[in-house]
Amino acid sequence: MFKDEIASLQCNPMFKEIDSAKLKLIALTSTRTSYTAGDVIVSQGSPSESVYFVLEGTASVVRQEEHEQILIAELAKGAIFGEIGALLNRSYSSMMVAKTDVCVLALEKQIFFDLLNKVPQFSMALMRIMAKRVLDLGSRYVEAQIK
Amino acid sequence: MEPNLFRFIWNNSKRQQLIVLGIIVLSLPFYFASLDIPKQIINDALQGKAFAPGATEARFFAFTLPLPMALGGPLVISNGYMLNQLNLLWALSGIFLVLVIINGAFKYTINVMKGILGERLLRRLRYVLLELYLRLRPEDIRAVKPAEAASIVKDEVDPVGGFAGDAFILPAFLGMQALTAVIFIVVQSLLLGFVALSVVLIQAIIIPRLRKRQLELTLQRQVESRKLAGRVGELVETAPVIHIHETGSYVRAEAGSRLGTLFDIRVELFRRKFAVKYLNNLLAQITPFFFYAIGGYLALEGSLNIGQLFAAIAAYKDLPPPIKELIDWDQTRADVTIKYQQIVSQFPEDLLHEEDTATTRLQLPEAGDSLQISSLKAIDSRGVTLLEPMTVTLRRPSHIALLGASGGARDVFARILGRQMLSYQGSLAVGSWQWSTMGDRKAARILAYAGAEPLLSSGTIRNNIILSLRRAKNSTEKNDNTDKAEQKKRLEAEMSGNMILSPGDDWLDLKAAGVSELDALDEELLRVLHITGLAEDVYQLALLGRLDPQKEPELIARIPEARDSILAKLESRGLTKLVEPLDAARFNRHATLAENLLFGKCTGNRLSESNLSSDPYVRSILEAEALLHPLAAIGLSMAETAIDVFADLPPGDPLFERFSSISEEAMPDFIKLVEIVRTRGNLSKLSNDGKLRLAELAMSYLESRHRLGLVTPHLERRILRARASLRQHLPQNYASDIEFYSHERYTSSASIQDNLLFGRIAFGAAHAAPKVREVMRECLVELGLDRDIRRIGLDFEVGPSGKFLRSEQRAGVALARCLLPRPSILVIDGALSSFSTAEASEILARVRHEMHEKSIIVTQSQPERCTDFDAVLSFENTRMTNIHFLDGKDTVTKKSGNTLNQLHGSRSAADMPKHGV
Repeated sequence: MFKDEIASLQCNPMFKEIDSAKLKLIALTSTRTSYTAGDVIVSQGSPSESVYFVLEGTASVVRQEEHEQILIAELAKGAIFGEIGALLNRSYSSMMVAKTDVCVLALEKQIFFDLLNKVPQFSMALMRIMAKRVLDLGSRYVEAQIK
Repeated sequence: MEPNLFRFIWNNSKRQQLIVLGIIVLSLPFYFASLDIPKQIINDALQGKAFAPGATEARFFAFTLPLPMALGGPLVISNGYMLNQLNLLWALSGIFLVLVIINGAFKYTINVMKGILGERLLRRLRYVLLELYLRLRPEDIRAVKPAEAASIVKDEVDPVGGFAGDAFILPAFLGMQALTAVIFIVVQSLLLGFVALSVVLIQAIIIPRLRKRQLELTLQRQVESRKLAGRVGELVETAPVIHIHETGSYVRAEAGSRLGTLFDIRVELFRRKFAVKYLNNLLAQITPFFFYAIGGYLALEGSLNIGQLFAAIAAYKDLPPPIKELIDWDQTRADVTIKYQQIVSQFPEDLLHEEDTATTRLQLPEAGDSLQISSLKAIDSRGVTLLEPMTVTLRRPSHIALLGASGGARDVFARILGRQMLSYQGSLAVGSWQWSTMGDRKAARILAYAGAEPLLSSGTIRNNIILSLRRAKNSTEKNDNTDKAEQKKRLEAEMSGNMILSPGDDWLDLKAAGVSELDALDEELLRVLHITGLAEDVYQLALLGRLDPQKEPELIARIPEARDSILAKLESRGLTKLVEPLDAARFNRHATLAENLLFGKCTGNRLSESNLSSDPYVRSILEAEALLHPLAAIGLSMAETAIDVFADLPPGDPLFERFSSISEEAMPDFIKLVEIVRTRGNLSKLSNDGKLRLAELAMSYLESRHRLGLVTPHLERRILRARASLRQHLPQNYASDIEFYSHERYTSSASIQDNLLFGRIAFGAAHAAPKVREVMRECLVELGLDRDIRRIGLDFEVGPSGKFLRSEQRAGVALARCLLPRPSILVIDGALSSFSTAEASEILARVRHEMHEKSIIVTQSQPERCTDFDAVLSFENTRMTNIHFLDGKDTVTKKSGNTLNQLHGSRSAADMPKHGV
């Protein structure tokens, strides 16, 4: 089980450079939880308490705007969710819903900060993930402008 | 603090010093007699000088008081007894023995009294120092390194206390003893007396001079040791930073340099110390040479008899120790005086604020008295301006926001308002109460300050919150305690200048919290914890707590009823699968292996997780079921994982402490065991002790938590068999060490949650814990047990500095502590920074509601969070730049760049000297 979790985390290319001992530390300090398709994993607006890593299945990130639900992203094996809320000390800005049966690792916010402080490889991986997201957003913005 | 050590000692122990000195004087005739008796034994008993020529008996113990003729002439007290030579020898030897015993008793009494005296002084000194630390201004005590302060109070004063008992008594005792011995020698022979006196004088004059440098080195050592203690404390605190930046080598080099300095000082000290010792020994050995040579010559010449020579040598044998000790005393005196002065110099009067110890009733300022701030300015110790002069009147009650960037004038002003900084210029007052001089007693009646750093101490949540009520010094008046032990304790405290009140007395100012009796206090604590957002946390902690059958019999009696209700509700909502029941016939994957083996809770140490596998009875069961090897294999996997994951973390790391199944101290042993198994290639080649150690580790294994996939169905079946055997064959003398789970009765060693569910919440099931706890809460509320259970959460131990709590929980407890005494002014200076923005807003709204019709001052960094305050004071860099009123009347002290001006379109004005809110 533990080994599968490490393998799932390694599916995220950003985590590939992290030593397996450090990935084990992330796994060991997290709680593994299973959800069935349709379960709300995280509610929009709820206090940011944990950061999530998808181990199995697919989860959708959805934002509720007035009466409309906007799909922001789909998270597959190795993806991370909730890190922005944790870093900014804000509530979750969108919800995370299990699209299929999903298994996640939930890392408490405080432990997430501890790991950022103690595992430089983890901080770097997170920065890369966020940099990539900024880049993607930029591209999407340009595409939207062109359209 | 008295700067002169001797005056400090004398002023605080005069009476006891005089009593001991009296006893010393009383002891001297006995000491003199003990020197004289050997001479009598040789001359009178052995050489027969007491016997008249031809007489076989001599008079012994004849005693006549030599009164003058005017008073009737000599008065015979005793005619004595006629004894033959042998009996005279026995009698004189007997007297010598009695004198030895009496002198020993005197020494014992003097030493004990001296010891007590010294301990009392030490207790007083430590108390005075603690008191001085408490009297340091808040901004100065923040600069004190905790390790240095601890080193001063614990270690550095120790020799001072030890010396206190000797300060006056030892020189008096030894001086009189030495003088007695010298006089005795002089009486025997003037020449020998002169020799003895010369040696004494050489020792007394030369050696202290040689020791002067030793003293300087001692002082250097003290300063360097203190620095080292402070640095070690810093190193421990900043260890994570050292690891992150890989500055370990630099830190080691720096530590090595400090240790080198200490080493050099100590080496020179040793050289000097032993040089002095050499001289002392030389003088001590040379003197007998003179005694034997000159005394022997005089004896041969006939001007000194053998008895006199023997007595003089015996007396001289007693002379060097007191002289040596006197010299040592002088050395200690100089040493300790320097240390004492060093300690006193840490507390210059201008850094101390006066303590208001009066017990008279305080006349509080009127509720409507404004906070008058006039020309308030703050500069730091280097003269850098922290806050430029500001004058403003803050109406009370009002809710005020201090807007500005963190770390600037905003925070300085907040700290001054919260009395965390008293070294300011200008004036800040409410009515006649001046902020800087009003003292803690007055301040605590109207003001509370919640800073960014929640300062908690070891103890329960309850104790940390009610700290703000522990100020009612009303126990002295009602102290009619007749308990002798308690009275003795108080008398001793009084003699040491300590507070005679005991921490167990009634300290709580319940009135301040708005309650009249202790029973109602918990309700109030839960109420303030709800305000600070900790209600849910306390509820959860309560569920993990235990109920004491002695204290809570009624609550325990209702648990089965609550359990039935909870299980029924879980079933009705289809949530039964979220709880795995405790079933004697089933393995519970949400319980540890130890819990599964015992199917109960240990009540003492004998069957605790760490002792379970090594207990002879349990081991016999494990061996019978062939479980030892598989358990050792699980332990090995756990050890390998823990070593792999935690080996790099620094000592004391919270992640290590929270998640490692192996303690920091045990880690090296397990590293060794894992190495042995790797080297030998097989677990079966490990010694039995090694296997037991690994099996012991396996006992804490929880499959759903550790997820190493080590518990197979086969192992489960074997553990269930072992469980049944263990219970069936349990020896009678183990009965009190375990409480087996039973659906029929309350398991007092298990948590409230375990008892309420009689099962475990499934780890890893989606939202299992919140869903189940919600059901539990509903049932407890329905049954009216909710409040009683929550109370138990107040007993949760927060750990050193509150480290068992999360940062927001610590902040919540600290804020609750501020709210409890219902202050009329509350300063919140970054206290909500641990919470998420939404949580912080909710908490602030509740706090503001609580502070309705009172004053609250809150630091804010976002203008949009300041919109509904009665007034907003804006700060930039070191200045207050603007004041905005809710009613729109703004005053601006800076013409541009103010966010509030933009936000509220406030009026622009030239620099204004005064503002009114």
